[in-house]
Amino acid sequence: MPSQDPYPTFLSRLRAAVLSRRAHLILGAVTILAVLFSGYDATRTRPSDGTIWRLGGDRIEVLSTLTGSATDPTPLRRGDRILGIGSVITPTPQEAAASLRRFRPGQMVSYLVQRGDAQMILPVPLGSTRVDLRDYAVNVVLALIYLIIGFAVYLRSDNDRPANLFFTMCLLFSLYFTTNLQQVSYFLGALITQNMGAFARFMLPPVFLHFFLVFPSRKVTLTRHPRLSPLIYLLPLLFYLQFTLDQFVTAAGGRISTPVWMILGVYYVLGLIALLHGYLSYRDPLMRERVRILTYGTMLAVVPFLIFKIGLEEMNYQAGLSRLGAVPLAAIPISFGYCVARYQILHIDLLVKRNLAYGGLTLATWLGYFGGAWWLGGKALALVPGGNPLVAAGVMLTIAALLWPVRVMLQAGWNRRFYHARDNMAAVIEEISREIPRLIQKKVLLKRVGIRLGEALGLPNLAFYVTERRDAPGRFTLAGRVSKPVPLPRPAPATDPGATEPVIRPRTVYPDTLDLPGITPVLSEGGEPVWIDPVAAQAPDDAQAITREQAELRQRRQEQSLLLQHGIQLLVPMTAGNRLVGILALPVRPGLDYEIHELQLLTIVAGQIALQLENSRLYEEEVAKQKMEEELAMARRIQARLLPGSIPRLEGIDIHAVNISSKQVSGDYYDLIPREDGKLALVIADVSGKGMPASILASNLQAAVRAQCDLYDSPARILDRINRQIHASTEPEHFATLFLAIFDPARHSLVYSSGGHNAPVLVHADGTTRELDKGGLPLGAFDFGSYEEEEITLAAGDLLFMYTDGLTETKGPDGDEDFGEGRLSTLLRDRMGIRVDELITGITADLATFSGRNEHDDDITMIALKVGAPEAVLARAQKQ
Amino acid sequence: MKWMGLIIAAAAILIGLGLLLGTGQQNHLSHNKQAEELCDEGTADMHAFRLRDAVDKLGRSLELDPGLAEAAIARAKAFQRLGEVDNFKGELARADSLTGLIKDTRRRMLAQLRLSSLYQSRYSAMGDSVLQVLEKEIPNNIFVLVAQASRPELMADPDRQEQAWLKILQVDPNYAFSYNMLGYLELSRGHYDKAIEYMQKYAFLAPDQANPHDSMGEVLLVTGRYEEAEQEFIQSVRIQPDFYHSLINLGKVYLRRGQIAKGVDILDKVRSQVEGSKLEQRVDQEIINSFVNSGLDEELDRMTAIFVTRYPQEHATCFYRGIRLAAAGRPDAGRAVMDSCLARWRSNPSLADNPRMLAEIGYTSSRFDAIVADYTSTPAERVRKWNASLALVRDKMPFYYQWFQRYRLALALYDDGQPGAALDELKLMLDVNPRLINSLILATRCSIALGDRAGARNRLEQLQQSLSLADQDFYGRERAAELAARIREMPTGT
Repeated sequence: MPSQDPYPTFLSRLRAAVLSRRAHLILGAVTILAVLFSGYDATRTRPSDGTIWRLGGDRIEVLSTLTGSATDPTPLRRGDRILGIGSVITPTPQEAAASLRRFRPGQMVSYLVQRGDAQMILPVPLGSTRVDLRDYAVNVVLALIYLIIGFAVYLRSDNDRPANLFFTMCLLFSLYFTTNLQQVSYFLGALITQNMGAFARFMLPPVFLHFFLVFPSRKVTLTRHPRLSPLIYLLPLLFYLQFTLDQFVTAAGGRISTPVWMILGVYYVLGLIALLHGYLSYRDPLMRERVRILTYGTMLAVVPFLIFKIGLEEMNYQAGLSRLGAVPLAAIPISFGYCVARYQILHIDLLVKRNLAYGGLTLATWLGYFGGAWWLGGKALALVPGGNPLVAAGVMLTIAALLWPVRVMLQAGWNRRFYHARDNMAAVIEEISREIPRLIQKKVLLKRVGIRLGEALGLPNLAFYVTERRDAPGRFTLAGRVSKPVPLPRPAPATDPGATEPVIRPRTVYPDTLDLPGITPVLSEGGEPVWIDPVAAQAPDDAQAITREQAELRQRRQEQSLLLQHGIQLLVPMTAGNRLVGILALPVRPGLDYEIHELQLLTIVAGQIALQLENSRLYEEEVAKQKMEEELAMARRIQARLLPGSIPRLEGIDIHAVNISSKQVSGDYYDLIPREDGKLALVIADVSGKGMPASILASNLQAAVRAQCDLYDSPARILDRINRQIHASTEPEHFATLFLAIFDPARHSLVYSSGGHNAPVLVHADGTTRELDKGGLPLGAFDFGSYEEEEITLAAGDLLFMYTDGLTETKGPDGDEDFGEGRLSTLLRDRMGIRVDELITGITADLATFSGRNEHDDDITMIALKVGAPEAVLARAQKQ
Repeated sequence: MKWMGLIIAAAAILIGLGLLLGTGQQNHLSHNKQAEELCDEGTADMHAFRLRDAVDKLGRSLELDPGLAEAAIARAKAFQRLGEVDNFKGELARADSLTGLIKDTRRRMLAQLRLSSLYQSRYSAMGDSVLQVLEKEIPNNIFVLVAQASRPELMADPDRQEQAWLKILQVDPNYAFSYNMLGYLELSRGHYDKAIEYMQKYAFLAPDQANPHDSMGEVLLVTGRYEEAEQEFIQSVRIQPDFYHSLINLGKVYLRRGQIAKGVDILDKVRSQVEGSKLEQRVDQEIINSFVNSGLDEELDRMTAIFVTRYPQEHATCFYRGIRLAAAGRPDAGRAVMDSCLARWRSNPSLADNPRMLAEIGYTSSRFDAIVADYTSTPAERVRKWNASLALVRDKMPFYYQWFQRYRLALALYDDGQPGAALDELKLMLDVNPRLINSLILATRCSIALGDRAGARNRLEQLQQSLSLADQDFYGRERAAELAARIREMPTGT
C-alpha cells in the first residue's frame, strides 16, 4: 500500500488519486467500453471514398487519398474542396457523413468538387470503412489476451505499482489492437476511434518504458529522481494533444509524423534496455529464472513489433506484413501470465479461475446496466418527440438512477457468490495479515482493517471496542467504527402472531461504551464469537434468579437484549495471549446469517488485531517511557543549574553542601548567596512532586529567593513574599518547603525562618543540639499565614546542619525503618571534630550502609556550616 | 438512497428545463414522430428536387398521419414540379382541406403561405397578407424566405433578388430551386461562369430531374458550348421524355449549329407531341423564336403562317401577320394590322396597371417598326429604328435576349457603310458566344469591308469551325465559301 502522506498537498492528493486502485478500475472500464465501441465501429459496413478530409472548420478539404484502399485510384485529389456528396450540398463533415451513409460500398457517387477555380461533378467509387475481418480477428484475439491477463493481474494485485502499470499497458495494447486497422473517414465514430487509437499509440511507449523502469526491479534513477516518472509521459502527452488539436480544431488532419514515430520508438527501445538491465543485474539465479521467460517473451514480441508494425506499417504504410508485427506481441501477456502463475511475480500469488468469472460477470453487469439504460432511455425518448437535449439527458439520468438498485443487487449477488466465498477468505486473511503489521497506530489499524473486513463480508458497518487493564471488568470503550451509508432493511415481521418481535434497530448504533460483565467471561474464556440470538435475548424473564448461574444467565440475557437494541448481532473477541483486549462488534444481517467461514475469518483477523493492539500498547508505553526519561534528564539538567557552582569561602567559617539526585529528580535544591553587605544567605528547599514540574517550580523558587535576598534582611518577610508569589503562580498541589537563613560572618549571627522545611540541627561545641524550627507553612500551599524568624548567634565550634527529608526518610534494607533524625543527631555529635566536607561524606557513606544501596528513592540535600578554626576543633575532639 | 434521490431530482430539473426551453419546434406537426420525420425528409427532398423520393416519403407520412397538412402541401408541390396534373390537383385539394383544420394559428398561416404559391389553391390570394405577418414572427423560416424571394417586385431588382435567394441557401443549402434562380440571375447579368456554377449545383442536387439539366443546357447554349448543352438537354429529355422545353432547346442547339433538318425535325416532333393540347401554342411560339434567332427566313415564314392560321385571336398573331405583310411588300397593310392590335392591347383595362406588360407592348411595337424598316427603309433609317428598339431593352433585358436586335442593328450599320461600328456590335455578342453563325458571317464581311484580311481570316476560321456539323446545304456553308473567295481576292499586305 502507498505510504500515508501526513501533510497532503493538492499534488500529492492528485498523485494518490491517479495511482489509486479505483482510478485504475475506472481506466479499465473506460478502456473496455472504448474497445467495444471501436470493435463495433470497425466492423460496421459504411461507405468510404478513400480520402482523408480536413475535419474541422467550415469546409471539407481533401488532405490525401488512401493508397491501397478499395477506392484507389479515386478521382479526388489533394486540395479538392468537397462541396457536395450524392446530390446533397454538404458544408460540414457531419453532413457529408450523413450523406455518405445513404450509399453502399461499391456504388459510384457523384461528388461536387471545387478544384482550383473550377467546379466539377465527379463520379467517385465508394469503398468500405469495414476492416478486413480476418486481420481484425487476429487483433481481437490479441486484444482479448491482453485484457484477460491484464485484468487477472489487476484483480489479484494489491495496488502494487508494477502490477498497475502492467495493467495499464495491457489496456493500451488492447485499445491499440482494436483501433489499429480502422480507416479514417468522416464519420464521428471513426473519428473518435481514430483518436482513441492515437491515444494508445502515444501513451503505450511511456507506459512500456515506465513499467520496465520499475519491473523487475525499480531502477535507482527513478528512486533518485522521483519526478522522472511524470516527465516520461510529458512528451507523448503533448504529441497526443497536438494530434487531437489537429484533428478537431486546427483541421490539419490526424497523422503521426515520422519523427514522432521515431521518438516513440526510442521509448520502446529504452524500455527494452531497462528490461535487459533489470534482468542482467540479478545475481540470484532464482530471480533470474523468474524473469527469464518474460524477458525473452518481451524481446521476442517488441522487436518484430518495432520493425513490422511501427517501421513498415505505421511509418511507411505497408500493411502487408502487419501480422508479423502483431502476432508476436501475444508473447508479452502470455509470458507474464506464465510467470505470474508459476513464480508469483508482481506480488500475485494465485490465479483463481473464479476471479475471472467474477470479473466477467461484473463486466457483464455493468454492460447490461449501461445497455439497459440506453435501450430503455431510447424507448422513453421515443415517446417524447423532438425533445430538448436536456429532456433526453434528464430521461436517461432518471432511467440510469432507477436501474442502479438492480445493478447493485446483481453485483451484491456476484460479490456474495465469488468474492466472499470460503476459498477467497484465505486471500482476505492473507491480505489483512500482510497489512496489519505495517499499521502501528491504533486508529489507522482499526480503520483499515475495518474497511477491508466490511468489503469482504459486505457489511454496512462494524465497530471495535477495547478494554484496558484499569477499566472495570466487562467495560469496553469504542475505539473505531467503520460505516458506509447503507441502511439495513427492517427484518421481516414474525409469522407467529403470538411471538414477541425482537426489537432490532433498523440502523446499527454503536454506543461509546459497552458494559458486558455477563458476556465478557464467555468471550474471554471461550475465545469464540458470540452470536446474539434474538429469540433467546427476548425470552420471558419472570423467574427470579436464585443461584449464581441463574443470575449470570439473566445478566447475559439483558446484555444481549441491549446489544440487539443497538443492532449488534455478533461479538468477536480480540484476545492476545490470555487477555481479552477488546471485541469486534458486527451488525445484524437480516435474512443472512454469518457463515462458518466468515466466523473463522473474523476470529483469525480479530486475533491478529488483538496482537497488534497489544503491540501498539507496548509501543505507546515505550514511547511514553522514553519521553519520561528525556523529561527527567532535562529536569536533572535544570536542577543542576540551580545549585551554586562553588561554595563561598568565609574567614573562619567551614561550609560545605551537597545534592544527591535520585533517579526520579524530586526537586531538592540548595543555594548559598553572598549578599552585598557581606552576609551569606543559606537556602535549602524541597519542592513537591517529581520530574519536570518539580524542577520548574524549583527554578522559579530559586529565582524568587535570589531576587528577594538582597532586598530584605528578614527571612520571614522574604518567605512571606515568596509564598504569595508561588501560590499565585502555581496550582495548590504544587508547593515547596524551604529553610532560609541569613548568616553574618562578622558577628556569627544567623537569622532564619523555615517554610515548613525539616528543622535544621544546630550542634553546639559542647555536644548539645537544638532544632531551628521557627517559621511557618510550606511555600505556595496557602496564601495566608505568617512566618516567624529567630536570630541566633553561633559560637566557635557550633555546627549548623541543614538537610532535606530524603536523608532522614531513607529506608533500611527491609524497608521498615527510616534513617531518622535521631540517628542523624548522633552522627553529628560524634563527628563534630572533623571538617564539614568529611562530615557530609561520612553521612553519605553511613546512609548507603544503612540502606544497603547506592541509589536513593528521593533527592538528598545537605548543607553544613561550622564556626571556628577547624584545627582547634580537631584538637578538642582529639583531647576528648 | 440519498444520492439516488439527488440524481432523480437533478434529472427532474433537467427535464423541466428542457420542456421549458423547448427545441424551437415546440409545436409538433404530428403526434406520430415517424410521420413527422418522413414529412421533414420528404419536404427536404422536394426542395432538393428529389421529387420521386419526396412523393414517396410524403405519401408514407400521410399514411401514418392522414391529417398532416404539411405533407400534403409538399406532395402537391412535388406533383406540380413533376407535371402530374391530376395528382397535383388531388393532393392540392387535400392540402387545402387539411390546412383549414390546423388549429395552431402560426402553423396554419405558414401552410396557407405555402399554398398561396400554388395558383389553384383556395389560399392563392392570401399570400401577401399572410407573408406580412409571418415575416415578422418567423423571418428565417424557409417558406417565408421563399415567399419573400418570389415576390414580383423583386423581379425588377436583381440585387435584392440575389440576396433573398442567398439567404434561403444560408438556411438550407440544399434548397435546389435557389440555385436555379441564382443561375438565371447571373445569366441575365452576364456572369456566365457564375451562372454555370449555380446551375451545376442545381443539377448536382437534382440529377434525376429534367429541369436542372435543362437550365444548365440553357446557360451552355448561350455561351456557345453547344455540345455540352446538347448532352444536358438529352439528359433532361431522357429523364423526362415529354419535357418539351428541353426538346425545343435541343432543336435550338441543332439550328444554331446549322443542322437545320435535324433541328426542324425535332421541333416538328415537339409540335406533334403537344398538338391539340394547351401547350401547343407555347411550343409554336418557342419554335418561331428559334427560327428568328437562327435567321431561318423560310422556316420562319412557314411557321408564322401556321401560327397565324391556327391562333387568329392571339396577341402574337398581329405581330406575325404584320411582319408577314411587310415581308410580302405590303408594309402599310402590315402596319395597319399591328396598329389596330396595339390599340386594342393598350385599351385593355387589365394592362393599365401592369408597367411590365406596357413596356413589353412598347418594345414589341418598336421591334415591329425596325423589322418593317428592314423591308422598306434606307440603311440609315434602319439603323435609327434598330437603335431605338435596342434602347428600350438595353438595360432591361438580359444581354442574350438582345442578340436579335443587335445583329439587325449591325446588319443595318454594315449596309449603311459603317462596318467598323457593325463589327463592334458583333464583337460584344461573339465574346459571349463565338459560334453565332450569322454574326460570324457578318463580322467576316465587316472585316473584309474594313480591309482587315487577317481579321477576316480569323472570323472565317471561326465560322468554318462553327459550321463543322452543319448540313451540307446549309446557307452558312455557301456564305463561308463566298467569303473565303473574297478573302483570297484581298491583297495579302492588308
